[in-house]
Amino acid sequence: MSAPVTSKTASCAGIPVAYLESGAGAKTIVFLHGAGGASPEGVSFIPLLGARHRLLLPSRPGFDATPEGNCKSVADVVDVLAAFVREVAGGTAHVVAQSAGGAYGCWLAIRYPDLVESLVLSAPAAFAGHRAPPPPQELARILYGDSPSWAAPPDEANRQRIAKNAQANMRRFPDTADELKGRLGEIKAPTLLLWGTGDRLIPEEALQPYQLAIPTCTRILIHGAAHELPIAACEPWVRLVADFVERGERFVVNLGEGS
Amino acid sequence: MKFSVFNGMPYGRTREPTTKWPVPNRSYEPQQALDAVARALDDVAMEDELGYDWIACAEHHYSPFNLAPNVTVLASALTQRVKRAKIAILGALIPLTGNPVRIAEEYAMIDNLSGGRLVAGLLRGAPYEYLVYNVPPSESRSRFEEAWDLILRAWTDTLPFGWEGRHYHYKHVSIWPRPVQTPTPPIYVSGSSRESGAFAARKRVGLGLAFTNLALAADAARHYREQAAAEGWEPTPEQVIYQLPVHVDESDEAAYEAVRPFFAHGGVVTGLVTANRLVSSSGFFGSGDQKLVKRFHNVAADDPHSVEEAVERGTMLVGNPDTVARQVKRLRDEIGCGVLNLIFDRGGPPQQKRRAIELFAKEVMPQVRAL
Repeated sequence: MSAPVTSKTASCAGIPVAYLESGAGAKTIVFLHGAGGASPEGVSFIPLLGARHRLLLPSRPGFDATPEGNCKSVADVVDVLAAFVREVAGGTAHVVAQSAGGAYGCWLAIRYPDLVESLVLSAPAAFAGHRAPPPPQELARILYGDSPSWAAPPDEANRQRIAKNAQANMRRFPDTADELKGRLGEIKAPTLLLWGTGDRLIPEEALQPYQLAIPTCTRILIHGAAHELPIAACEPWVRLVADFVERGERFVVNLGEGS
Repeated sequence: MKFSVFNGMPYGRTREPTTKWPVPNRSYEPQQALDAVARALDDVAMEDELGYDWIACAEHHYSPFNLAPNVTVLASALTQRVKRAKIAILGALIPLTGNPVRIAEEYAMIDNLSGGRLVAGLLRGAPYEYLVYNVPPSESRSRFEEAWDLILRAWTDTLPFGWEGRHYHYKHVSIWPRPVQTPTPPIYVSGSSRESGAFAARKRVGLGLAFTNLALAADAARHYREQAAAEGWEPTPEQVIYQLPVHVDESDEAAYEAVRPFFAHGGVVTGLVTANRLVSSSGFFGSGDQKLVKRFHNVAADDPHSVEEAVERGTMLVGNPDTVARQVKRLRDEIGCGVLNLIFDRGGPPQQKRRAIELFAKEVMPQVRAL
């Protein structure tokens, strides 16, 4: 089962934020994308997750069709995201942050705890250090692995858009990793930390700070999965995220088949 | 070289032929099983005192030849009787269980109970084992590799984690106890197939060669070393185990006569041959291992039919101590194995077996220790 996906725009803190929306469930998920911007067209995870919950995917300022506005720092972007949660998501949201979106998800949970019902950090990149980007010919395999889930594989325009986003936004703002590490313990939202054991971009050590500092953090490894988990390991990723959003801390309990 | 004694805790002779597989258990006699258990535990204590390096055991199902379907239960008992030698579990068949974390926990317990003497074999098993718990043979490889990753992580990851795989799913893993040996006990996988040899090389662990022959084992060991070289490392001799039956007696003639009845009875369980054929041709082996598929099509035809042939093909060590020492040297030269896992159950009654164990330790081992 999958839900239709629509493109929309909403004014948040004075910036017209472009976003995708799918589904209409009782729980609202705000998905924070990685360095490449909005996920490529043709991904399967959006309609699949939309079939379980209401899913919103804003493009952060400076990405895709969302202008940079007056954003000069990570904190400015987080203020825009907070406005998005209030005005579009309806006041609170379950925040799911992929890769470079992870730092924004954490800061949102730290600075606006009342807006974040739960937090999923999916291969978060904040403590991975700065490394040279993979060669273009290997990039897709490193990001998506050997069996990515596409309704339709991304075309050249999508690949160009993602590369442009990544180029324009790498190290655009002063790095907040050190400060973030010291404040992770302030995150009160139940947190699910996901990582694929086949991730060649984020070293496993870069996951430790979250688990050590966030009081309610549960770490789950997806065996063999590459970095871009929603695409590289779509089925288990959607199942884990949807279940965590739906059941909160009870998601650790096996309810058996058919429940 | 190092020497291991395999202890399968065999039940002994049954009242009816054991040519079928599974072997019907209607003739099971509790007292005979109790005697087998007591004898096995006495034997391992003796083997420990005689200076064998490892005491080994393995998981096999549904037959009187090996009364250890749960090998960690047996290994646990061994830890209380074997005070010096390593306890080698060769091994648990990790794709067969639905719960690899339980294997990680039990192995860690054995390592603690033995004071850090566990040798950890993590095996796929012979083809017929896949009929035991109704596991698809075609999933054997992927179950094995996932279970392997999970077990290794359970031993080494010091923070709780959950696991989402193709076959196994956990929300929390954080085992107590962890193994005593760090980062892990020495690990071996079975390596008769090309895929297994490449896997062992990739993971930088030891290779166990069993239910094979000298030519095939030498080829498998060579493949393993080539793969290891490609991965940038060189296995030590101790990382290659070769398993085979042995009987040592005062003279060559006496030794040959003692094991001849084993061949006179056919030497193989015909039902097992059928079971192996059915499974091996159902996706158990990868595309690079068609030679093994062919071999298991009728493993009985490929097995030696006489003592002389068995010795020639390196599937059995038989003779007086000097003769057996020469046969050991040949295995060392041609396979490069640094550990022999010896099965002393082919030489007739228990007292004869014990005599062979003693002769090997006192008169063969000193001749070949330095190889």
